[in-house]
Amino acid sequence: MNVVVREAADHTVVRPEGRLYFDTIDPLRDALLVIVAGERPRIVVDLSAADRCDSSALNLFVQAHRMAARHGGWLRLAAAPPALRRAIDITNLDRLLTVHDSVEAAVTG
Amino acid sequence: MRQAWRDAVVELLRVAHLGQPDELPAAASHAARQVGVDVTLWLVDQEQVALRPLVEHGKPVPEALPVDSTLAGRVFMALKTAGQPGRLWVPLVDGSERLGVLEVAAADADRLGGAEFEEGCGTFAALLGHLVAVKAPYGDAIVRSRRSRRMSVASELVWQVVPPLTFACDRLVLSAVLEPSYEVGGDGFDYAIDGYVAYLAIMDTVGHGLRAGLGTAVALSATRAARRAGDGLYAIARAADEALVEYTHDARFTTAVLGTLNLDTGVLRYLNAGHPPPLVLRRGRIVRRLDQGRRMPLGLDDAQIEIAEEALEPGDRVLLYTDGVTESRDAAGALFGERRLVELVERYAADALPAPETLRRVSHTVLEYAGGAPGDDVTLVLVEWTP
Repeated sequence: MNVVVREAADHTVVRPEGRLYFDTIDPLRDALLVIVAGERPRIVVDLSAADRCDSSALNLFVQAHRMAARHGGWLRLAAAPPALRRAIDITNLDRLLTVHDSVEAAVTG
Repeated sequence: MRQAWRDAVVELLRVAHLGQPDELPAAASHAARQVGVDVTLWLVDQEQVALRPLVEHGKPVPEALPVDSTLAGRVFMALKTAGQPGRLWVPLVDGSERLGVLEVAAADADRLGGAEFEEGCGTFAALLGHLVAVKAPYGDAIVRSRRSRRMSVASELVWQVVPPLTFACDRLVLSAVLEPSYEVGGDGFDYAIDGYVAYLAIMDTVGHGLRAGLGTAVALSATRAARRAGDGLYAIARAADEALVEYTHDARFTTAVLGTLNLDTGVLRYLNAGHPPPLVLRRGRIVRRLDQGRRMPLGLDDAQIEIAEEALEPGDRVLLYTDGVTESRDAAGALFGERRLVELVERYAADALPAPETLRRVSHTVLEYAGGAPGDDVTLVLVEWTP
């Protein structure tokens, strides 16, 4: 899995590419955990290039979301393809994580 | 003949009283001599693929018998005694839990015939089945005889925490499978039948290996402690939330379905903590997906929780499963999917297969589909309400 990190003035877009599975997810974990440790982290995870995920990925999003909130920031998910959207729906994690249709919509909240 | 079998049963009880687990085969052989027959215990292996002999220390060990292609295997699958010249194969069960088969052999083939003989065999095997289950925890001989290979640490842990695979009573048949049995990670299940209430649970903790297995052990223990203290479903789930938060610091969560089935009325009350929805099978067809009672996975605080209700009809089956079943992939990367699962379960219902055999075949089909190595645990629980 490849992770592209793009920093804008007031937020960071993290774009994982490929399968988000327990055995492929480390690069994404490393990228997110660095950013959430900063001051007021504002993170958009652009899922448009992620083709599927397991619960380890969802667990990572929850963990990063909590750490971002603790540091006065936020983490938002964007552009989830149907398979990922379904995984989020089944686990009811949309009660905790916000999922936006596009990166732009996520940035504006 | 009837008296001879009674003597054998009494002798088996007497000898087994102070017997070690590894001495059970010798005790059985000794007792069976009252009837003039030889007996061999065959226990199904952990993966339910072959029957493996449990023999007296120092005796030659015969080769394992594949369940799918031998007469002994058919007796195990159908739980019906069958004979061949000089030999009778009798199902070996602990109550309703399938353990294996008992081979009864006699040099004088005429000894093996007759309804009275078979009835005596059945009684002897029933006691022996109970004794296998009772003696097993006190040593490794019985447990080891059921293993074809080394078990992972996580798997060893999970098998300690889950109840036996099958239970049946007048109003309920419940069976479960947990695969790949030597490398189980984060899946688990639980049940308890008391009075008119059957409690059911299936769980799947994020991740793989020991940490996932520990998560499930924590969630299962928390729910069990709460249940035994008299808590209802809502509080049982909250107990798991608290215990998981205490255990894990990385928001590791456990998806689960927890439910209670009223055995008098057939009303199933359940909550679904981020888990694939269970399926209801009625007159051989899947008629409903239990997708209410939703909350977030156990371990994530979720106050938004409503217990759902579903009224079952007599004979309905409820299938609970983990996503390792539907998310298994073949070599080309194609998902096993819910549709294949539904087709299999409906086909086996049409064949009138009992619940344990249905799940054995479904789980093996999923494992084969995934080339023998699924990416995740494959767990299924099938509950039939039979008022």
